[in-house]
Amino acid sequence: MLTWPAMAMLFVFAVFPLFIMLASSFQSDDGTAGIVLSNYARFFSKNTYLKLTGRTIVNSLLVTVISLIISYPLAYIMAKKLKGMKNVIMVLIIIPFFTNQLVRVYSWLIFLQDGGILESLLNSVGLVHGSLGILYTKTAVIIGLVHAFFPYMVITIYMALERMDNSLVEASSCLGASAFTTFRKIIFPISMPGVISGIMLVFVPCLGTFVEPRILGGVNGTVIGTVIEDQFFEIYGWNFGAAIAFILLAMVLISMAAISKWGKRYEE
Amino acid sequence: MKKALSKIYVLIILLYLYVPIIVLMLMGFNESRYNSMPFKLSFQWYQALAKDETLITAARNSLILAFITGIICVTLATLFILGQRFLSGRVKSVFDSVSMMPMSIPWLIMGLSLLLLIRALNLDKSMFFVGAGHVVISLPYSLLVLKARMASMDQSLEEMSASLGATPFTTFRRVTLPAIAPAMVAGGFLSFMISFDNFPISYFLTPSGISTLPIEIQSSIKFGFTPEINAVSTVIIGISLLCLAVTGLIMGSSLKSMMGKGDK
Amino acid sequence: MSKVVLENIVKKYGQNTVVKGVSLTAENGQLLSILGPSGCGKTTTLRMIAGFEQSDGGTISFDGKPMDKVPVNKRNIGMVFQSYALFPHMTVEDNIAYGLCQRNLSQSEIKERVEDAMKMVHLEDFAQRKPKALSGGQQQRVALARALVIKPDVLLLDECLSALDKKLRVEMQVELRRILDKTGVTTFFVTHDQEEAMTLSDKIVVMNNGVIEQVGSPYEVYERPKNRFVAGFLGKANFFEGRVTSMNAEEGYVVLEKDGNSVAIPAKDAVLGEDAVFAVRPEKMRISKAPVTGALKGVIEHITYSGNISSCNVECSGRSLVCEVSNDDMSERPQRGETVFVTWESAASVRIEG
Repeated sequence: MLTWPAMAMLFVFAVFPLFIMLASSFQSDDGTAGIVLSNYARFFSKNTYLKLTGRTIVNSLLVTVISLIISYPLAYIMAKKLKGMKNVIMVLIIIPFFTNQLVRVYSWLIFLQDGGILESLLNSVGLVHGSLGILYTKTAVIIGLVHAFFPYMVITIYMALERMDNSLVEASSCLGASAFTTFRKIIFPISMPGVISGIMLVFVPCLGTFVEPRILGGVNGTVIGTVIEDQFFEIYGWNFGAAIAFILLAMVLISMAAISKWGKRYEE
Repeated sequence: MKKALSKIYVLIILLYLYVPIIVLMLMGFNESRYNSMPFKLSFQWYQALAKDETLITAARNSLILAFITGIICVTLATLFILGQRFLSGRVKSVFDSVSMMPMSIPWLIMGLSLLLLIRALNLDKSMFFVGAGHVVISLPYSLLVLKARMASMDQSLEEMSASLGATPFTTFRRVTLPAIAPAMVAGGFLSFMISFDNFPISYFLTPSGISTLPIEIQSSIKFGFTPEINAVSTVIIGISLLCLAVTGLIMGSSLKSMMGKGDK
Repeated sequence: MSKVVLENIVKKYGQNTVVKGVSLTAENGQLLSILGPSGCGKTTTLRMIAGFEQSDGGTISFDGKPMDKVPVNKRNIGMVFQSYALFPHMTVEDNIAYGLCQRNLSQSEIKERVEDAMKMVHLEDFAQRKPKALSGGQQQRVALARALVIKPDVLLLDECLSALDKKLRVEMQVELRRILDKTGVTTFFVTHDQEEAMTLSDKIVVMNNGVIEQVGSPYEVYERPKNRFVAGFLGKANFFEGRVTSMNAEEGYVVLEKDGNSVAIPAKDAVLGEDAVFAVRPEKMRISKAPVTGALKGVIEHITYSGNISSCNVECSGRSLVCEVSNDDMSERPQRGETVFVTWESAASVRIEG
């Protein structure tokens, strides 16, 4: 049947390799034969790895929250205020998606570096004196990640707000509610499905990033993704890497399920 | 007053989105080797780019890879979309989840799991697996575009064709294909772009000696860079925008013809 | 309860003047319908009373108090939208309680009033349901309860019965009238359905193209239309126009001449030598097979049978008249192609503006 080619590709090159990965995670890097739990044991016993997991989750949460804070007003303005410009702004928001990830990260590198444009600008205005010192800190990583992910949230929230019947807002007004109450009790709750989709699209991929943290954060940007990358390129502990990757996968799947469940509450 | 605030807010966000990229493009014309001020106009980096064999080869590799990926993705996606109506409910939902998998699972994991597959099969890294990886992650995007188009297409057109005596193949060729053709092109472009821009999969799976553009940029960053990278980045942005524009035009005009023909 | 007065209300959208100087008064407790075709400005006028749109000229006052500076949420109005606008994420109970929660009321009083409201619209058992689980008619009743429970000064209904099927619509009209009589709130009802307007209202305001064509009770507006538009919009009408060349007040007929053609019709209110236009309602006309003095002779072109009445198109010397006859005596029914004589009482000819 017609569906087989596509499915075969996916099963062979996407699903099956994950099982291989799982299998590898139970094998040892140092030559011990048979199934071992040492990889997992190592991950969970060492404090550094657990702190790492915590930091990755916190980073992702931070990026998600900041994205939400800057996306919501933008989506709201687009849906409610701008009549003619809606589509133009939407296109402008989508274009950066199609810029190469590396190019984007590189552009932030140049922009934030000591001796770069932002530094010159802030120096000339007097806001900062001397070197900027943002690059290679956690802040730079967050800036880069929010930049990469927040458009997803703008789109999902925008779609939810756009779909909302405007007469609901009017009904709330004539029943006596102030603009703030209307937002709190009507607009925001009804937009929740969009907010939750957005959270899903930001938080989950953020857990697995390794490019932005490494390039913009340097040493301060170590997250699970970068540690995994190291196992495969620097240290050659592939099986250990597989174990960490599997733990990351578990984190991804659990968060997806949790967010999805949370979202069901707001299903219309 | 409120309107002005809104506009300012939108502007700030757009600045956040675009300023670094614009700076990048500008720096490609800056003489400074270290991307620092002051600004002095120069085309030397573009000239260097034209002579840089490594970068040009990498660019060529990226383009060819993306092109092949695009074609394969569209073909597989089209076949899938046409065939999925014959699937039973349970199988359908399994296939649907699997097809969307590469969009939710970090590409890091997909890349390294393929690498582990190669090791398990005792093979060497090769472009075949790079291609397979690209196809697998780009496929969902083609699927999405085609699914959306199929959903909005009038089913009764095909039924009408059948009732007039056409064989399934003829129906496909003369009714279905023209209707989904724009979506196929759009899906192809989308997959092309995803593949062209992809870094994680390529990074994990390319054999030594072969490189793609994103990988070159990354090595440049890692090992100290020359602003040729700015020049090539600008070129990449240009290509991406071009693809986007073409896709937009195709989808836009197909939307118009959809409305004109009363397609629902 | 409020007396609402609109004085010379104007509304422009860009170059387009949608409402051109509308003045009307709704007395305390009156149900006033604003009737007109799509685009006539009726909904815009309603929205200005509500406060969603600001007028570009004129004043709106509730009980003498001008409302220009008063924002929507402070006007104490109740509104039922065409789409009902029920909050989808809240239960019926919470929807109805919403307006009360914005006012300083105790929890127990809110609960009591919500229960009373649900009883009034016969939805006591639906308190915990969400709007999507309700039928159109039920949603409508929730919307009404929500608007009334806050005891508004003015109630505004915006074509809110148009989404219901005919039978339900008629039921709701009766229900609505009953509830409004009980609560006694000043109500504005916007509709394009003239039957609905006539069934429900104390007073009808007929609007067309941004201006008021006529204001009056349903009887007045139907029996004594002021002009061609009103005559044609509310029900059907036959028009006769021309210069009065002769008249006979005793016998009660008038001869009108236009473009060389003369026609004599039963009518009274005319001045010799003047131009006049008369409108005659189809149900006032009587059709007989036998000749009658002063009647117009014609041939039946078409008959439409509608159960209780039959509508006949009669061709009389070049003009097509629409007559409605009651189907009480089916043996005497006229047939297509038959020659008949059409006549009516002279009082049934209403003189209207050209």
